[in-house]
Amino acid sequence: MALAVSTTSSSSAAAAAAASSSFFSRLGSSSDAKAPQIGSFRFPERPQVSSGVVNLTQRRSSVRPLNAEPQRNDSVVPLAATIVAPEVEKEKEDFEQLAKDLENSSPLEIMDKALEKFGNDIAIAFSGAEDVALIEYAHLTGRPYRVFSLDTGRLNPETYKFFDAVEKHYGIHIEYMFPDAVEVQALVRTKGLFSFYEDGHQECCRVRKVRPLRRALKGLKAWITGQRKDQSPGTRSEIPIVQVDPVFEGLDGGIGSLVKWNPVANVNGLDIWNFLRTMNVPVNSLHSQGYVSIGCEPCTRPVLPGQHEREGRWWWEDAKAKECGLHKGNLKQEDAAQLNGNGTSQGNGSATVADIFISQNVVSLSRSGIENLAKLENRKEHWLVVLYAPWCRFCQAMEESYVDLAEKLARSGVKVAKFRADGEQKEYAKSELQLGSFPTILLFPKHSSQPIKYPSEKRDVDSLTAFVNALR
Amino acid sequence: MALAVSTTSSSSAAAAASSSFFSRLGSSSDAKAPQIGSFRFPERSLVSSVVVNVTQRRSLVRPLNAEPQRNDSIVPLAATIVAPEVEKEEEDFEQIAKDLENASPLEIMDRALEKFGNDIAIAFSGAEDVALIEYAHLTGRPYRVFSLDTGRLNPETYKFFDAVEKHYGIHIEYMFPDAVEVQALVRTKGLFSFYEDGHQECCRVRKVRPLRRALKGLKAWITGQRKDQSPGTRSEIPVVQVDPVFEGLDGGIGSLVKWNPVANVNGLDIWSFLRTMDVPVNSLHSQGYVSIGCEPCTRPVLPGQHEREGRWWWEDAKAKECGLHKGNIKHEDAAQLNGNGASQANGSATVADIFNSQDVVSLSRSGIENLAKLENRKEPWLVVLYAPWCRFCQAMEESYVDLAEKLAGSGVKVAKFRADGDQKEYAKTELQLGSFPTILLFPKHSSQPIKYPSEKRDVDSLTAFVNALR
Repeated sequence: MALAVSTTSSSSAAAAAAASSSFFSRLGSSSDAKAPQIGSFRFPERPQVSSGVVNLTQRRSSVRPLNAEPQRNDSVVPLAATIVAPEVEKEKEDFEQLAKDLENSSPLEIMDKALEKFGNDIAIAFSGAEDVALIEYAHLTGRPYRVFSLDTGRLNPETYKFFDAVEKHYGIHIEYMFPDAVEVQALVRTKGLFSFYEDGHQECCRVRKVRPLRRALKGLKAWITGQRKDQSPGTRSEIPIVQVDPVFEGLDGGIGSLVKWNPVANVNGLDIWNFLRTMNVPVNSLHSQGYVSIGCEPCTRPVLPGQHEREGRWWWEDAKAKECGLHKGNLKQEDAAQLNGNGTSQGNGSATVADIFISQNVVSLSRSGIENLAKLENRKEHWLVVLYAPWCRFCQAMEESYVDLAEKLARSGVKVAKFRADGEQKEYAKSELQLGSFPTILLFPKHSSQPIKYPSEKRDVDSLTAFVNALR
Repeated sequence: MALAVSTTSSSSAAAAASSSFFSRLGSSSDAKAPQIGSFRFPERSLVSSVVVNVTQRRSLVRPLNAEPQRNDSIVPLAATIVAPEVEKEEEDFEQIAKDLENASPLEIMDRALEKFGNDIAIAFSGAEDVALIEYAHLTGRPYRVFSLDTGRLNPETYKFFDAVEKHYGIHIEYMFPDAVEVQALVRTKGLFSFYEDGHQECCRVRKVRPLRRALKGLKAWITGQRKDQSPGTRSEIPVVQVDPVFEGLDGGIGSLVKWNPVANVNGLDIWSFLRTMDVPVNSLHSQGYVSIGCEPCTRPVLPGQHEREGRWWWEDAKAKECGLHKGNIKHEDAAQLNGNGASQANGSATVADIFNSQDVVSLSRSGIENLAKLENRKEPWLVVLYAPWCRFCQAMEESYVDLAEKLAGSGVKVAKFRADGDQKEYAKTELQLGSFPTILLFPKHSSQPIKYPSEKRDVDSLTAFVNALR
């Protein structure tokens, strides 16, 4: 809904906005909408709607607005209560003529004509945005009217509150449509909850919007939308005031069984907003937060898919190189090269680098010692082992903490050990001990053969102690 | 989930938190209600399909520590224990619960996954029960996770589900409520019925029934229930039990086993574990939420409250219109108006008329009656129903006269009708009079007048009203 309003417009890059009203605009040309509904249970919608209508009538009788006296026919020549068209062609021609007759009518007159013609077989499609104007116009006619909305299960909380406010303000019951559970589950279980950022919105919209919409329209002979020409400048001349719906089917089934009314097609956005303000119509509070286009929450204010603190942190760590062996994301390809390079350049000098983690409380494990430890399924004690290279400056940086930890845990039932994993031991450590970079810290629990890798780079005594205590 | 964490705790009345919800399941009679009029999709085949995807997905992102877990028991157990009797099976699990009473959550999780393999799943609510997934991951065994997407969760929770899937390389098996049941509920009772009726009916539709469908496809499930969440039933959460409420894959009582690996862990230790292991957590926690469930029940808002109602209260206090208590227009307003009328009627002869202008048409009773009856008029008419003694009508006199001058010759007639005294009853029944002044627009082609809803009676506001409807 591209429209200028007196609020700050938030421009969002990579916006995959599938706004409800824009969504309705596209329906006229969407081929997805014609896809047959496979494997979905179709509840006989008509009895459901009838039940809703009964409630609607009961509700209205107790809160009848003062201006609800029946609207008298203002036409000089009385029309038949219902026009029964024996042919699609004839019916279509009638609506083409009607659209021409109403081209210069006000939205109120168009709404009145629509409600007069179709009575209880027509409903307003309300998206939760400024198309609330349609409800105000319907209310002003004094005629009874029905409203339906698509609850996709992913709307903004503000929109749910707005629906509720509208129901109370006008004393109506909105006939909410909800997506089919089986279809939603099949989609989100295979593609996740944010597939629209990667695959585009078509599949998600089909499940959460188009199919529920089709179910709603199957119970109607006509519907009323808030589509406007100024929302789609490219198709400016193609939104008539009234038309036989070219896409959807109505109550009687088949092409031509549904009539679509667009009472505000010729009104521009600014005038809609003036109308809402003048008539003190309730509006969605998202508008005052700068939202111009309103639809499902993830598509109204898009967030980069999958981004969260952890990924940001990885980037930050790469930049500061807190571990030897860079590019952890490409562990199998680049890391090998990195480690080989480091190993080679340091290998010759290894004889000259003093060993680290030297303490009577730190057990130095040989290759066979670590192999035996890994094979055991029951051990007398838990073991904490650091895989290190003495030349690695990050291992050197943690030496003091690790030695302090070993002293602290002495005789507590946890053994603290070290295993030098560079040079000839590197391949073994990578394939069997989860070595990805130096240092790598592993805990071998007492009753499990699988070591648990310490995931953090906080290598102070308290953090390491918390790790051990959490798993012992 | 009553728990002390190092974040600001927000106390929320009427909170129906997800985990508290799970706690109550053990005693909920609603859960036994038969599912009427609902289509039951053969869940098993769908789950099988998802399982295939889980396997395919996992092979691509196999974690380094995913080597098969070897049995650490000295006496090897049969791969599957087939219990011929419910009683025997129940006894077995009572014994296991005793054996595991002092075991760590990791050991309990490992035992559960070892015993039930692909027929068990973790129930993940989107809160700190993510710890269950971390424990399962640490065992190195394959595991399944399901969550209840009620259709009303916080946006932050949906993002958290997605982050967890990516972090662990898993697919969560989401459950969604049945469309027919949700529609029936919200169409008759609205979207916020839980503030008035309590949460039971809404929870049954959005949580309990989808949960039952999920459990029907399993032989066991794993929850994050803890004793410290329900001090009153402290001794009643075993680490493993035959589920007393729900049915599993084989149907009937006793067909489902429930594991509670963190029953004996307190909240602070759960949070220490999450921080130590760098487990992703729901960002709502850092915003001060202790209890997380559906969005309306996590931070309740008074039902139906919005700007308009607040404004009415404000207007009542400032009396911007004559005829107070508009909400009780039929009872109190009559008394008010009668009172005002009576006290003013005697002096009406001494109050000069207002809205005197050559551009304002003064309508008689028969004039306004004819205007109201017409279905087609040469022009739209704007009419003010007034009382000359009303100070609010007096306050708007200048604006209305200016408006009339502005609209002269534009195709809109501006008029006045004195509606106090003898004319009051007629104006109330036929012209929507509720208080003075009342401004009506009679459109050109409609017999129904439209009442001006605002109390902004300056020229520009009135002009906007006329232009919007002419």
